[in-house]
Amino acid sequence: MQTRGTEAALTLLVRDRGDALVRYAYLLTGDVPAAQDLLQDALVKVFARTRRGFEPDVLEAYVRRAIATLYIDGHRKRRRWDGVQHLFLAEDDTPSAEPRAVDSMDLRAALSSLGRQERAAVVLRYFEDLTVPEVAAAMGLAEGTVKRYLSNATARLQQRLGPIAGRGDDHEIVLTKNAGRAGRRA
Amino acid sequence: MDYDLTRGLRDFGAEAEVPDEVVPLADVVTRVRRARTMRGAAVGLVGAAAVIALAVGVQAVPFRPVPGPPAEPTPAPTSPAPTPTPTPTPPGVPAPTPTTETVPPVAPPPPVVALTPDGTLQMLDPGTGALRAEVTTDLGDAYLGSVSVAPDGDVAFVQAIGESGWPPEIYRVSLTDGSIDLVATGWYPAVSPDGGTLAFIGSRPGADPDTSMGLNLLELATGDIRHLPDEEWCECERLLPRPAWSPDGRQIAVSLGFGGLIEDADVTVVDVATAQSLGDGRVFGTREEPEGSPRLLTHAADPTYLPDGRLAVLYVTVETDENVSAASPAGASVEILDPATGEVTATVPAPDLLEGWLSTVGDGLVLVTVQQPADLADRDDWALHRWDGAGSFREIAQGVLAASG
Repeated sequence: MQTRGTEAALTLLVRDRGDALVRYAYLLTGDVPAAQDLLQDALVKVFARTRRGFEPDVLEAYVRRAIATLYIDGHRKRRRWDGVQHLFLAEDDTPSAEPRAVDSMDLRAALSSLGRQERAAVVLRYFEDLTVPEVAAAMGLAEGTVKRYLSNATARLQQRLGPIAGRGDDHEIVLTKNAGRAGRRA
Repeated sequence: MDYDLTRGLRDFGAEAEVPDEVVPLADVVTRVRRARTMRGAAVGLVGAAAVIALAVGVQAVPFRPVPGPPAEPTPAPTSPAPTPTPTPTPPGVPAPTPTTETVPPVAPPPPVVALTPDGTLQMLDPGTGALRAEVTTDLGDAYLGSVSVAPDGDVAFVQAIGESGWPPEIYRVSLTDGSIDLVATGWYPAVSPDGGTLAFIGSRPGADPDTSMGLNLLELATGDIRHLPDEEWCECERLLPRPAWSPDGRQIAVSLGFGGLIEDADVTVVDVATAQSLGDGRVFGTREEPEGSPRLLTHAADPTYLPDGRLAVLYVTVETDENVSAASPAGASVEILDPATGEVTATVPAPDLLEGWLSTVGDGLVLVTVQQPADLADRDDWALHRWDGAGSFREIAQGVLAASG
């Protein structure tokens, strides 16, 4: 039956890949509970309409994409997201178990200075290793817009992290006048 | 040395202290079930091994059996005038009169048109549920959903999810020979009382269905579509279920809201002639639950108009502390609203159900119920109930899933 199959696939995905998916969401939220909520919403979004026949890796890809789009579109979620949105604005609010490397602390702070779209673009580009056109497709934006987000984001990250190793098509990224402005959430 | 952002991100993710239970799986499953149910109600996904939909021929033109007898003594084509009840039945008569030949010139009540999983359209007696006639279609391989019968009784509009998947397609189906033709993509077709306009839920013509949603008004003669956007639509638990025409064809009621508490589901009535968006509608039936006893809406509030212009709305709810994932039958009731004030004038208890769909038939209502999640339901899980305008619902048929208007 469709629902049973769907729920079995959901259970397997959460069991086998849940940890990785939460960590992925954490890159966007910087907060574990918020990442868990984001993953929940993404799972519901994907599995509420999934029909039979999807392989686990395909489902995981869908969920990852849903995590990104839900994060990006968070402002549109009148109800659920209003309840957790403050978590996204919080900085360094997750207790650390052990002293972290300076890089990690700086990265946290640097990421928290990015806007939602910028942060998502960075994660898709540098963590998921998508090309700029792929990031644009994932975010539903024009390539130029993505380049602008990446440009602004990398400039802001570099303020904290120093020069960032470029990607193959980073030469296409054009810095804008606003690239060096202070993070609005810093 | 340049900072390796990719590695930094991986390390950053790796250091997160993720609990063993990454997400509360039971809650997620519950939400998925609810979302699938809501989506089935909201945007028409009624995939199932046994999905039957039911439509009601509201206007008074006698049904023509499948073989299509040449001509029947057609009573003057009842123009869809704003008069509430086109049926010649005396008011207050509890419909189950299966018409006897001895009674003078009383036409049989228009049939209830039911869609079976194999794509057959069955014409059922609205009082007894007895099969009068049927016609087969080529839609047997699709997941069938909502049905709406045109007032002339010649065609029905059927929502079907076929090979092309999402969004569903809406077919015009001949009730004489079963032939089909595609007329639109979207959810919940509802023909206007004059038969000229097909209302359905869908995206703005040409737009990505994931980025816009609203009420489409398709002029059947010209193919022109007017889109009344739901400006609060989002890819969340937004509810946007079946549109329902008022008897005079001037207004359309639709339930809007976000999945969750019953008070979050608003029945909105838009003026067909002037509305530019669903936000222009008047809100009826906003439920304000008493403090401390919120109820969770497990199925989109389902409105339909009674012939006298009153609104009937089906609410299916559970207490918020109940385990929804148990999929146990919820409390269901049909509330009758004054269309001018939104005041609840009557409440009719509904049979136990997990999901249900209301339709108007004659001077009463029919309610299709299912006891299993739609995706799981077998044919035997569906039942058709009739309410004659007084008393309570009574079962008249099985193997029939609801939807219509």
